[in-house]
Amino acid sequence: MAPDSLFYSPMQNKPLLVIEELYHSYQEGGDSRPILNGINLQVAEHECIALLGRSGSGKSTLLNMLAGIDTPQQGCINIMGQAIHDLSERERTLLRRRHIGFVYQFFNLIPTLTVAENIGLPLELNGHKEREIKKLVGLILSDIGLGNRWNAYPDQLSGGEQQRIAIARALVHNPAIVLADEPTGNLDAETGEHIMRILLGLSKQLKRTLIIVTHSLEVAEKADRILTLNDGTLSTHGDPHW
Amino acid sequence: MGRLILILFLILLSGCQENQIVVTEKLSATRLLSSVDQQGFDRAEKPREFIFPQDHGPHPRFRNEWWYFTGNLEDSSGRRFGYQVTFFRFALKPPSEKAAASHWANNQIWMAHAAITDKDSKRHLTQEKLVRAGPGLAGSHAQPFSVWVEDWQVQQGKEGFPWHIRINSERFKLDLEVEPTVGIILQGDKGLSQKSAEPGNASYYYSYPRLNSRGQITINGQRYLVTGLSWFDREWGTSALSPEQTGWDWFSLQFNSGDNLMFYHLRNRQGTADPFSAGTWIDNTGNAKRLSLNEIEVAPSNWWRSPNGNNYPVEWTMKLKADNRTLRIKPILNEQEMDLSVRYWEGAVDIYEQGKQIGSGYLEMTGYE
Amino acid sequence: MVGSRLRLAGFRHQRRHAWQTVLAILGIALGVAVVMAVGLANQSASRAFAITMEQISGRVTHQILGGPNGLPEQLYTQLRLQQSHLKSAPVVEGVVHIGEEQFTLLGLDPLSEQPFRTVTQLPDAGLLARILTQENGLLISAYTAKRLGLSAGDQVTLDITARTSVVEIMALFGEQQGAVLDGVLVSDIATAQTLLAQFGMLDRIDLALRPDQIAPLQQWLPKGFQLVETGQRTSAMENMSKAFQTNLSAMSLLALLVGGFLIYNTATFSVLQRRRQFGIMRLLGATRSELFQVILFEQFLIGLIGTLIGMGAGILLARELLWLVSRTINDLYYTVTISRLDLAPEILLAGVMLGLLTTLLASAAPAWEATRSRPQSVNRRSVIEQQSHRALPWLLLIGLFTMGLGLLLAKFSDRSLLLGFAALFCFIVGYCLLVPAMVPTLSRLIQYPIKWLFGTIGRLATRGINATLSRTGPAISALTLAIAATIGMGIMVDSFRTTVGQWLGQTLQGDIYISVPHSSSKRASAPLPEELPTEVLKLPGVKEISTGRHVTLESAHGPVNMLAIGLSSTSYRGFNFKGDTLANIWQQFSTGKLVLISEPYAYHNRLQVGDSVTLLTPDGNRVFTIGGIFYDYGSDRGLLVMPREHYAAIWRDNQVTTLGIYLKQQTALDTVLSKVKETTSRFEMPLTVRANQEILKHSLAIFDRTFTITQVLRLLVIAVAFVGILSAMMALQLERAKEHAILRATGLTPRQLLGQITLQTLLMGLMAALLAIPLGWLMAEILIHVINVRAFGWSMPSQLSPSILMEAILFAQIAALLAGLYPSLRMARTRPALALREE
Repeated sequence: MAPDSLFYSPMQNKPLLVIEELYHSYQEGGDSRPILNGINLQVAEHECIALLGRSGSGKSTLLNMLAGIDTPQQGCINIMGQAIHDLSERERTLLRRRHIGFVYQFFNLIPTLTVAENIGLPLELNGHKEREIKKLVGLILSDIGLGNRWNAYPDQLSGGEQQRIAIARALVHNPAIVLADEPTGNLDAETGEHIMRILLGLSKQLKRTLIIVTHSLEVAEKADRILTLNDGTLSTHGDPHW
Repeated sequence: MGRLILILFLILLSGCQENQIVVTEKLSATRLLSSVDQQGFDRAEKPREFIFPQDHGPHPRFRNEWWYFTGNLEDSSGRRFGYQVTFFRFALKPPSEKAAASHWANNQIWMAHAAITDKDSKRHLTQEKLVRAGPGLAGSHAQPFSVWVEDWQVQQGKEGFPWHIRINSERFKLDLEVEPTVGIILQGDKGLSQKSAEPGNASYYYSYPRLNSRGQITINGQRYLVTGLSWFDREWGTSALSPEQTGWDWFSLQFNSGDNLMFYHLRNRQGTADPFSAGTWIDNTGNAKRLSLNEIEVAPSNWWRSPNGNNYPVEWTMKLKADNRTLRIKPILNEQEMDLSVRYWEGAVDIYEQGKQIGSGYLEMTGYE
Repeated sequence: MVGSRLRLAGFRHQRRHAWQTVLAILGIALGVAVVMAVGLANQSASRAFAITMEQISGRVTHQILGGPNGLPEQLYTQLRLQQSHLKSAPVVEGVVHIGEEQFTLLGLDPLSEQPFRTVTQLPDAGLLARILTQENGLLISAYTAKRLGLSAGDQVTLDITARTSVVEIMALFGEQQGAVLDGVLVSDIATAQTLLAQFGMLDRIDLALRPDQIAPLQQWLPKGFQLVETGQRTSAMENMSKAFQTNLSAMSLLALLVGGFLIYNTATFSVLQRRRQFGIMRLLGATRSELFQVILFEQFLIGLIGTLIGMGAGILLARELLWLVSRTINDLYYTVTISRLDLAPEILLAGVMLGLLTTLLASAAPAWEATRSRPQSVNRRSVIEQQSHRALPWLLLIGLFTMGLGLLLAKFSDRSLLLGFAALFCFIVGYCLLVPAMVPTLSRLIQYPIKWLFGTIGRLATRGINATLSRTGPAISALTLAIAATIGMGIMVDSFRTTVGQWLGQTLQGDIYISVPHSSSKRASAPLPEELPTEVLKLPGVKEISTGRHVTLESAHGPVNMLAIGLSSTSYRGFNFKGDTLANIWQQFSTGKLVLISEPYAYHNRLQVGDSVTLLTPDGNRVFTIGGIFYDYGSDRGLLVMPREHYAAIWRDNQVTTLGIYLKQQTALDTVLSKVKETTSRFEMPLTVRANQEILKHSLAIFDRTFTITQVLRLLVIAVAFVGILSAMMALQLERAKEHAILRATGLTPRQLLGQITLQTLLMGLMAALLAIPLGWLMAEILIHVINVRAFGWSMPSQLSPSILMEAILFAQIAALLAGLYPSLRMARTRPALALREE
């Protein structure tokens, strides 16, 4: 099998995300440290991909590039038929706002907004009406089992609860792609499992494409595909069971 | 003449505002005269001895005083003019023992009126000045005789007569020398002219009824050399009219014959002639004869309404009962209203008898609405 | 609408940091209040002057003026008798007092007034006769009457040249609302002449001339009188106080500048604190412009609240400033009563605009920066710090450039006061930009002594300042500016006061001086009794006397102050000349060909030694050569000096205004003083007898009085600065709550933490104070050598008073200490775990 074909989606769905020949390196003093060294990847609709790799291997950088908040020095990222490097900062922001959901290791909830307001923020940014926002937020809050914490502030919640809210916020506006950066990394094993169940369950249920960066094989095994980022290149991992 | 004393007081009360005149004119004579403080002034209560030329000068012990010139003039081409030049002195307070240190504090107000009637051009030009005596802004001296309000002046010549009248205004100029042909006439009772019943409601009054006049009139830069006859009235007193008296018609007539007639017709509230109306007949030799109301009778024969709405009887019929003569007095121009601070009618007139002009003179009418 | 949640987040942030928000609002409010108060007070003064002049001048186009004693009323008579077609009116004008308040007494002739003023258009017709006849009666504006609680028929006591006269208020004129002719008393001309004892003399003749009447009148006018255009004269008078008013405005702008810096500072903090939040928002898809607008809107609201509060406070403050301004104008320039605050819409609007604009400008920079940064860097504090440090060379460059611009401006703007102020502001702003660049060096310098003194805590404190330069830099800049402003203004006033004190000490060569308390004339000081000099000379112990006559003369450039002096043998020493004089100056001076001019007069009229001045004398214009320019701080309009004997001959005015007494050696001052007082008490007119030292004290008291307003402004700037230091320090420390929590968790005791925080704020206060000293000194130099010279024509040496520096440092330290106290106490009270959890 040609090395290229390895990274083409084996699923029949058309590719939602195409990465071609991605290169990126960080300047550290006078040295240049390559972090992405020719990445190629196709992700199909509704696919769930787990991305493994050591700390500092460039997983987060790759994720940031997919979200359009970082731009590669070389190569091409194509999301839903749009080449990211052709877009302006504003267009990239709009693309991100509409089609991408983000879940972080450190939750990144806005401390001065309530649970419901945090979840409603992407909807509002996308121009939904208040009534609709209320309805959608209500639905998703009950989906994640926190229907009663509507008015709580993030610092009144436990870590697991905060992450559930973050997942709800990442999914509520129906993004095509959900990017999760070590969503369980900051949680105990049990809570982590619970969170993963919710994340996977919801994205399956909502038919979202999901890319999870994780350290945990246990988490990775729940994905459709497992990829490993090593020395700036991607490789398949273990025995993906599709 | 009892003339403009009332008017002057009106002006003082009006605060010099032109738009208030209509209002103040409506103030009744009663209220005005009764509000006048006559305390501290001398009053004309009995006949006095007149001394000239001292008496040409001011009499500050009396409240009011005036120097009054009127006349009919003609240029060589027969162009008719009438003129009036009047100086009024009015004391706001009796003179105090000690002269005030400020010259402005002398409490003397001076007013001057000047008018030219240009018959051929149907023009009647008027000017007015109102100033306080201040540091010599206005005043009068007996010797040598002069009376002035700013640059309007009458001054005697080196030897007394002729007197020189000079009026300088933006609209017209008058430069006239006058010299009497008849001596001084003391009016009323040896110069005491009783105007109403109360003692002291009188004035000292003398006239030069006939002065030869020559000089020049300038109107809008056009100069006319003129000659003619003037009449000079002098009067001073402290109070005159009673509250019942509402106005007067004052005739000063000069006949071609050389005779002269002064007659004032005081009107009371009912519009009838007041019994104190009186006059003097002065023949061409200077003999004077007093006339009372039952010897002379006047009646309006034609009225003229001024642009301001005042209705004046500009033509009169005058009956001299003793001689059984009927005279008609007609203005040389109807438009001779003095529309100044206070409004009255004063103008040149001609005298007709049986359709023939037999003389000229001046007529003053006040108190018409 | 997009952004309600974004705004909500901002709003809740402000609520959670209410202290910071309140201080930010307070900073803006104070800045706006000061600017507005000064603006309103100034505007009210100008308007009061304009209204009064308009009412007094009415339709007057020209005035005839005469010599120091006015003009003889015969001139008016001549004018009326010869030029009666001209509209003219005589005017007597004097200065009188009712209680402490100064009034202009205007004596008019109601019968001549009609073409000119409406004052004498009386509501009650009968009044005119009373005005013309009643002695000691006057009219007063309804507004003034209401203000003084007077009504028609009341008696008031006028103080005129220290004599008193009881007068009756005959009637009121004008409306109660409009402050028309406030401070003006109107009487008949006779009454005015009597009250002012000015018989036979007028102060001027007012005219309403057509253009074609001017030349003939000038032809007609006898020698020694001058026909001047009213408008020119009015504007010349108004210009006298313009420099003073411009100075006030500039000072108030300084307050706003300090306020603006504070706003910038708080806005920066407020934004920096939320970088992470903004980053999340960006990650969620908020665009840069959306975020920028949200931040700006939030700051705008803060600015608006601050501005509105500032407006209210400004109006209240303006009422207080108003009488200070009017007192100074009355002391220094002309009589004007400003009893009514003129809430000029343009000033209110300008205040609002300044407040909002300053807020927007100050917060735009941090808002821009927050939205520019890439979202992924939100979590990296080090990036910001790297950026700040990277920006330092640029700041340094821009700062130096701006200061250079200031230097060029100061050097090449010649005489423009406004450009002088622009130069000052360039210096200030440039210097403030330099400050952050100096912080790392300074903190490195103090690092070791502090570490040696305080150990680890000391090191933590100094390190913290440098490590968080993005926050500490602007804060220290703002502090520096605030402290420098107080230093600069302090040095300026102090130098001025010292100079005036020295000058007075030198000028007052005599031992005892006699004068008349105050003059009723606007043109000449009240004369002393004629026989006084001879009587004084007879007193034992008196060696000699000098005499002086103070008058206002007309010159080609408008009115000038003249001091004619009869010099004693030592009073020459009273003159300190600037630069060279003509040769044999005193010998030439005594011939009467020379005049000496004061420095302000030379400056304003661009005159030098050897030039000439033309003065109007009773015999027409006369040219005098300038023999020397002397230092004089008595009048910023300038002063001319010539020998009294020559003055008396030329102007036919033999009166004496002041008498200086020189004692024989070893004569006791007190003995002669009481003898002199005994002598003066024999005269009907009350006279002031003062010893040299007493005058010095009195003059300095007047100096302090006129500079009260400057001191008040300085205090206000200090207040703004104090609030700024408090808010900057507090924000800084509150922001570090997490860091402090970690320190606590790591094992620092609450007391140690308190020490560390306090030390840090104190260090910042100290740095700011140290940095402020050069700036303050620089400001003072510009104020003294550029602004003062341009505004008033006074040059003086600057005096660096240590007390002012100490004061500034102390106040910075106190503010810093207070600012550190709250966060450290708060920190000490909370459990570290809680702080660690936050955000």
